[in-house]
Amino acid sequence: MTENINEIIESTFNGFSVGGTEIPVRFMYYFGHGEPYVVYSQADADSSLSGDNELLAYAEYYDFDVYSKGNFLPIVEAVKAKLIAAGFFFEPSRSSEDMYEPDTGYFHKTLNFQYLKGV
Amino acid sequence: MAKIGLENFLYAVATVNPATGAITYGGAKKPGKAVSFNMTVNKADATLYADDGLAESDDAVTGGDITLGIDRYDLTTMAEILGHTITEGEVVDNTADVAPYVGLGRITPLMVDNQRKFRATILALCQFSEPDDSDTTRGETVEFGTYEIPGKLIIPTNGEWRKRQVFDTAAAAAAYITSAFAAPNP
Repeated sequence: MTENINEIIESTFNGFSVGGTEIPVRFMYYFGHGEPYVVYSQADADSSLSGDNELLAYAEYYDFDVYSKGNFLPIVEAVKAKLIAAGFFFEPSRSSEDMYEPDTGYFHKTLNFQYLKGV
Repeated sequence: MAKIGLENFLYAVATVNPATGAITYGGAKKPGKAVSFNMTVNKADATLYADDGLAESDDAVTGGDITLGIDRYDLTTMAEILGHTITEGEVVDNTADVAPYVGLGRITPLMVDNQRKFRATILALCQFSEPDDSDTTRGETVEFGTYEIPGKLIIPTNGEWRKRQVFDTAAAAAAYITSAFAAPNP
């Protein structure tokens, strides 16, 4: 059966908290209020393996965007630790620099992870 | 008759009657999913010049080198085609191991006048040898490592080193190979 990566992510971050603060992790968009929060989405895919004239496996890349009005670095490290433990591979060169959005007051960082998916 | 891929390697351990050269097979097995196949044939390349011109030439195939590219290295399969010993899942490679002769089949999907066809090819006798080995740590750029098993093309006593036939379906092409490699009835 083909793995559902979103289900793996949702399971990995069920009850996710850092420093006693529960941090919602949502697909694509966070409809709630308050911060900090994390949204994730599939960014792209490449590096396929084929055999017997069929696609056998490929790499999918997921972006995790951390939003916080305070110190976001512990959240970044916690997200990385959770995903690496779940079998994801951190992609530093596909991740963003530290960002600040003056119009919203959010610190923002995009973390990219690779996941090998069998077909 | 454009080629549009490669699928379904099948092999069978072969036994050659030393007196007659007759080949019997032990039943078709799948070594893994097909990734690539390469073959370079050796030819006699014998020429005779007479009266200041080419009088005779012989380009008969005398053997060759093959490379089987597959998606996995199944220890049981590799032990069988390389002649290694396997006991309760443990494979022991010994310098005295001798790889058996095997028959090797493959299917090449084709596009012919806008119709899908499937060419089954059987090499009557091959003998594989130990592949080189290397591993690399995982990095940010994924590289799926596949396996290439080198081997020799052997010419049977009757000279019939290859058989081919084109079919309308992949299933019929696979059945052709499986039938050729079928073990004799006990």
